[in-house]
Amino acid sequence: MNRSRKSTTLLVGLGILLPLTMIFSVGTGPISIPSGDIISLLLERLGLIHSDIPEHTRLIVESIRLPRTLLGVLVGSSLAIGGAAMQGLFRNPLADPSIIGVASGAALGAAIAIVLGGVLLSDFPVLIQNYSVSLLAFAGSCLTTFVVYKMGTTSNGTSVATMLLAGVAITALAGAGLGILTYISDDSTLRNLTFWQMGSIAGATWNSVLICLSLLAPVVLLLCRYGSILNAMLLGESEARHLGINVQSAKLTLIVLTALVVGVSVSVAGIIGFVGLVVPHLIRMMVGPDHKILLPASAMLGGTLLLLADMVARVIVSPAELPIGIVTALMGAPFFISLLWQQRKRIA
Amino acid sequence: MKAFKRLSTIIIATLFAMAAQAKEISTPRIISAGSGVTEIIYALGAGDQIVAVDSISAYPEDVKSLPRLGYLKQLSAEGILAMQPSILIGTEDMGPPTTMEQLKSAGVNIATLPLKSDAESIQHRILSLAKILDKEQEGKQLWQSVSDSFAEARNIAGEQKKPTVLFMLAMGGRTPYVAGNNTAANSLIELAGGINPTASQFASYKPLSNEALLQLAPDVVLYSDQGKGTTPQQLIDMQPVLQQTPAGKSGRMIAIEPNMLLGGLGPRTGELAVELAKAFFPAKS
Repeated sequence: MNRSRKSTTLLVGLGILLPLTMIFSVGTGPISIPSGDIISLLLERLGLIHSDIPEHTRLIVESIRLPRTLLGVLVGSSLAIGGAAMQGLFRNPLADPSIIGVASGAALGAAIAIVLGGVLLSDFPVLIQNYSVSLLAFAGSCLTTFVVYKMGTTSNGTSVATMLLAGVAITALAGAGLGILTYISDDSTLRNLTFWQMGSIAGATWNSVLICLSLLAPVVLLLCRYGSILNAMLLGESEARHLGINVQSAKLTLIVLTALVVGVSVSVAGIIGFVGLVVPHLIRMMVGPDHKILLPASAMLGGTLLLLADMVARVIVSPAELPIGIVTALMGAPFFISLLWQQRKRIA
Repeated sequence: MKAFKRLSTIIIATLFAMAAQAKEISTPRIISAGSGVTEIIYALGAGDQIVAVDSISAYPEDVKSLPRLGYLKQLSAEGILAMQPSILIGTEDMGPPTTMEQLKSAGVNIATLPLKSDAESIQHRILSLAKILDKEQEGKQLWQSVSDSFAEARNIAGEQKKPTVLFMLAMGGRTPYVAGNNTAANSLIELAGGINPTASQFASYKPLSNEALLQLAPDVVLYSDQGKGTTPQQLIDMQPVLQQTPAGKSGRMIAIEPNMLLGGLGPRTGELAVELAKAFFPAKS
């Protein structure tokens, strides 16, 4: 099979797999719901048929599982496409949003909200207090991205290597900040903090889904259009410039868009590792490094994988549930190690 | 917006339907979140109505065979709904808030009890739980016996000089964590007639340096061994500096079962207070 046929097959396959996984995800949990019921429920919502599904099932599907599934797709897609874009931008297969400090900046923001929120925000309206963790996490991710970008940029352009180093430094600094907050917090905030860092999409509500949908969906679609620019930049920045690409503005846009998808994802779901790192690698192994395929395929596979991880999280210790960050790390880290092992052999 | 309205109508309708259904079930199906709450429910004789507990409920022994819903602050809405509870009873810190909202919209009755660790809050917890469970007589009796024990502990102390008492979490050789103000351990020390010198300095649990430990010179050391059965000698081996404190010299170091403190104070606190008072004031016992 030639490469373009292979790519088409992959995109179509993922396009079928994602909705199937979504239906499967809505049906899986401590209370299992047949896929038939879910489909007829959806058709009924669309006004096509009338069904007699019990209220209890309806409630679980509509107010718990459906928002959770949608949020999972949004967050998974965002993290994966964010990872793919960063790996392309930095021409570094190990890059993922956490490496330039975006995730740790977000974590620090969230920790400030969790530990000091009661003191700092008591005069603000309740609405702001309720979303303070998300808002500050987002502010943290934007601020770190801005600082890292500024540090890496001179009149000669943006140095990716400097940005990576700055990211390492900012991660260390944010780690120290987290340490201070951990030290001054009492037992119960300490536990909130720990659980936030493990990530979860269990708190999905229609509200959070709508907010994420309006922020993430357009950015993910926009990122998909940067395939050919990222392809050109793989050749090297000056080569890309010779191809007529405004490298400086492309870099800026890509960084801002990535920070946005990652910041929003982290702020609603906490820290979910390895999706951004592993998914683009999987796609590259299947169809090669063409970003025009890589970006949309990563988004679809990211959503699918996060849903699968969430199903595992929900079912494995039922009726309790595991934080999803633990599941993605458990699935992602061994995979990543095996990837490194293979590369090691190839080099030797 | 229209879809939203429709959705909320559905939720409200379901809520009523489920509330009606809940009344039909004759034996209540209780989910208990918080080890203190679980313990009181058992003490009131309603333990057989519990269908699931959170992960730290560990007393009495029967609890261990019940399904576990995970950590108190990370409860999953679905897991709880799957148990088809008629009521969820827990302390203020159960969560997360989104789970609580989801449960409320699913029509689950939720009773929230205060978490504070002092004698009044034990009374409040026992009496309000008794009311919820329709066992008010048993509740009054239980509180009576607990408060009798507190009075007994005060009697043992009498007019004697209060000893200084530190509560330490045995941390295996690392800097020990010591209980400050607003902790169950601090209330326990006070109920047994001791003084916790750190209560005026910090709240919650904080690591305490060896130098500070020497300077505070506690007369008695209480420690939680996390159920490992650590002896006082082992504790001294881990924290040799204890040997230099009055507590270490006189060997007044007492292990406390971690369950007694984890979920706040509870029905067994009275007996423990008497036992500790006897240890604090050996002359009179």
